[in-house]
Amino acid sequence: MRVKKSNNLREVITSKSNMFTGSNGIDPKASLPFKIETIGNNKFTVVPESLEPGEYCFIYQGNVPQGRTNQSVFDFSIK
Amino acid sequence: MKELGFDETIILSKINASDVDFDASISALSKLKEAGVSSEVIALVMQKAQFSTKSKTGIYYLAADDTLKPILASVFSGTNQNAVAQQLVSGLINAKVKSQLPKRTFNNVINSRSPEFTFIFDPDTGADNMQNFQGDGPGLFN
Repeated sequence: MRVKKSNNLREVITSKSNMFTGSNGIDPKASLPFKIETIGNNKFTVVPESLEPGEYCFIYQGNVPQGRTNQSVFDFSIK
Repeated sequence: MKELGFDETIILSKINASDVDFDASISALSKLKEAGVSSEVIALVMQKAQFSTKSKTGIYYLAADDTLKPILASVFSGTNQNAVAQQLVSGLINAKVKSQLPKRTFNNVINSRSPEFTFIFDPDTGADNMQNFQGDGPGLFN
């Protein structure tokens, strides 16, 4: 997904709410399409469609075991 | 397997089907060479060592020099919420919770617009493969 630059930080919107509705999780607009291929036992190749220069990350959205919440991402920059 | 008389095709199939940590050190490879193992088998051992799930769990990108470089995880440094601003303006606009990452850019700079990533998981690990930078304690960073 794309990460937004802000001052000295990068930001990921993880929740939205107003007086009527609320939603938790990643905005689908920020997620990016990619191709995935199995290359072996528990190994996968992931190729995102053309990325513009900017900040991106892989974020884990499944249920996190052992009662932990998701606090980390795998981030990278495209130049 | 070579000493036991297995055919090279079977040895190659066995290596391809095995999810173990192959030793591709110079000394290990020279032992294979001395034992008469073919270059094709040795090349496959080297390739499998590079992609072993036992030692390489994580996310990697294919660098320009054709090597796999790891993408290290970043931990959110905090969250920011504009709920007060929302209440002041209108309850109809969205209040957003933003999780923040330190710095404006990350050290892992990729020069390709179509980078290739390799995800390697170890199903035997007790912890979550994508969360293993947080230690084992529940709610460690909560």
